[in-house]
Amino acid sequence: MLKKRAIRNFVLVGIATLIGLVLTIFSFDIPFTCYTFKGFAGGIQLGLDLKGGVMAVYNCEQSSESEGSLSDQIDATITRLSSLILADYPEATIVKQGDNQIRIEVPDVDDPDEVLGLIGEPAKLEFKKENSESAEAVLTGKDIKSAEYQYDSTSNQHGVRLQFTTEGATKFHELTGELAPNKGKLYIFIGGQLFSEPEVQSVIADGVTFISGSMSSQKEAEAYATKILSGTYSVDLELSEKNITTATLGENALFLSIIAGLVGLVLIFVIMYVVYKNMGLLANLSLIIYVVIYMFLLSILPFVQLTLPGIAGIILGLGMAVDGNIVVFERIKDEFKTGKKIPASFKAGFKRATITVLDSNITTIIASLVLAWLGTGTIRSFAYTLLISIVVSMFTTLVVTRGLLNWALPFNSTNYKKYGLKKGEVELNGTEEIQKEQIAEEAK
Amino acid sequence: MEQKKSKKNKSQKKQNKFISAMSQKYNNFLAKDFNLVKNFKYTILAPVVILLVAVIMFACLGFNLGLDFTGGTILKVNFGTDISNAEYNAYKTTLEKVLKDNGITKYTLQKEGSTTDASVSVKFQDVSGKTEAQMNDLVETVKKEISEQINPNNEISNFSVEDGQRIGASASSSLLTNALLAVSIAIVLMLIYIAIRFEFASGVSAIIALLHDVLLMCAFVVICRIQINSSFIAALITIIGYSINNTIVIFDRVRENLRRESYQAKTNAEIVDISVKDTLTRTFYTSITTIVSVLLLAIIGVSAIREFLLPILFGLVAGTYSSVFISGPIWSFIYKKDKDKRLKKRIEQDKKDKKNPIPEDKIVV
Repeated sequence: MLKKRAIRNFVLVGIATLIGLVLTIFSFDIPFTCYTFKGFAGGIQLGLDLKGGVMAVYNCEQSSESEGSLSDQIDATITRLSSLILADYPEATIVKQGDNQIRIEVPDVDDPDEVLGLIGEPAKLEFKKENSESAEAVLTGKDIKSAEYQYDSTSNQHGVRLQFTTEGATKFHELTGELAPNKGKLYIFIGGQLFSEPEVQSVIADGVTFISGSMSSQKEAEAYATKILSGTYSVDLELSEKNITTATLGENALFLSIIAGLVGLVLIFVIMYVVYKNMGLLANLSLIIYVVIYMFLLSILPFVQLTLPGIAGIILGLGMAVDGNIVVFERIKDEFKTGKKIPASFKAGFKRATITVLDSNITTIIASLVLAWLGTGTIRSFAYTLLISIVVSMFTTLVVTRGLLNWALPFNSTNYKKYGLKKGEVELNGTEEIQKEQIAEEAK
Repeated sequence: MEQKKSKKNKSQKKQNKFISAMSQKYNNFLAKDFNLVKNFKYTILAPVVILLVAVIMFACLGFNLGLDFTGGTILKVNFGTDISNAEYNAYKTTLEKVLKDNGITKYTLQKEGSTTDASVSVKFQDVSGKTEAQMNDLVETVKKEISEQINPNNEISNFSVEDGQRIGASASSSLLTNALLAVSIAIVLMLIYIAIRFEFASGVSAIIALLHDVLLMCAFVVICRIQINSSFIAALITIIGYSINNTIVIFDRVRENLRRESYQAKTNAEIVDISVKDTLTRTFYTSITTIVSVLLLAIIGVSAIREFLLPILFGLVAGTYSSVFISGPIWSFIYKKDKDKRLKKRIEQDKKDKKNPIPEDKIVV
């Protein structure tokens, strides 16, 4: 009866793993639909160093308008640029380079202008009461929080939704209060040139306004929003380098890494089988399940982007996944040497090893959480891959391997050699102690 | 058929004999006294010597900093047309030769551009000892030679070499301070966790073992003159993750053995010896599997990956060494005070229970 159930379980897990493996490796068209399924492994976002893409470097110069140190201003600009670019290219990275440059990398894109068009041509943005270049600016770029396209369905108009900062909202409230009674005009200057002169219809107190009228299409309105936004950067940006690059690590880097990873995995399988026999075999199945779940998570989690340090994270994670199994099996071996039967050894081994695995992995989780939180760019990529790997490997070691071993018991619960176990040939340190504890435990 | 079977049996027997002989040897090895604490003065010698050599070399030569940290000059070689991989490799050899002939040893070559307009960007570091004017002359020479050697008869119609452009270091000081801050916070939090789950002594010794690994990795790149780029920071962090994991498994055993009734009279040194022995098989297999995976990638992978993985490989060895030979003994030195207290408490308890007290001479740790 138990045997039957165990066979059923093994078959089910086997089929699920097989399906998982197929979904991981292969991409195919989904029948009767126009969708293509992308294999998990193929769906993982790759960084510029592995895949190539568009790279641009901007020189930053202190803008005359804004206050604070250049470094603070660059940070503020990076935040602005990030929200702008990440909306369309979630896999882009925007980082500070050197002391006065901003580096933008967008993997897997081959038209730099498409990306850089989003950034626009950064220039000074001013809101004025009079149509004169020399007039005093009431609001400037730093007062604007966001500018985005919006379609007003009541008036059937394309327009731009402008949101001001708290400070900007107060200023805008005053300004509209002054202009609205006479339906006065607001003059928007970009780079010293008059860009737009919308009429003020009403007093606006909540810091959100809708500009429309001159824009006839969504595209035009979007261009308008970009233009406004490009005037809100805290620093003056000057394009210094723009490039389409192939994978910076070389075109074969990814392919060769995959080959190396597969060979390494096979070697690990062999070592595990030779050392732990059938226990190793089950651990290998558990490792395959680990790989499937891991690849799945890497491909669906939006913040994962694989770069060279990320590959190191994967290897380290794999090492720790194997380590979890080894820790458990060594423990089982110890327990068996003290004279326990195989099922009792499994149980006690897992019970004790669980604490070990948890403590060692949680310490590493703490480290990777801090790195994911504070680290930049590639270090973050490393932290994410490691973090996901540890969580998955704890599950496969403590739940999957354990389940598989328990299901194996109905087939063989006496032939210890098949599990790679040895009877206690040498007296283990503290053997009596463990036996005593065991008796006490059973008495409970 | 019969013969085959008996042959197979024979070879299997031989194999089994070999395995049992090996395991016998291993057991004998484990039965020996490790005296890890007593031998600490010898085991610490190797890392100290490596560090000293590195310090001396560092004082003379410094780090071998890569382009990420120093910046340099970028030259763009435009082909104006598609170039195949074979062509690119041929051009690469030529370009490398030109650079080396001009005394430029630190450079990267990168194929860029689209399929209709390919280019190769050549980045190289300043040659040490040259002034800026001399460097500018050198860049001009390199430009001229590239044109002469790649396109001597103007066969490539749109061929051009763009003017050299100075590029700044892409790894700024803020990147380094940021990484350092992140690692420091991570270390403090790990220390707190270990202090809660184990005790403070384990936390401190685990962190010391960690610093040992990181320092040795730095020593390794200094001694072997490996170029340091921003990926080295990631390599250091990888080893921090690995090393702490390795050490905790041993301290987990120490914690368990400390609680064991029959070990109560044992000295810290003995506890360390037993715990390291208990976990030695696991340490061995885990290290082997991890080192094998990294080694494979280092052998098969491209050179940039190798530059990244070689320090990691050395760090893995250092991490294994420190968790076996360094962390335990250091723990035994720090944990001394607690141990005395523990024994005194036990003796008082035993006197109360009118049991045989632990002999007084055992208290001396």
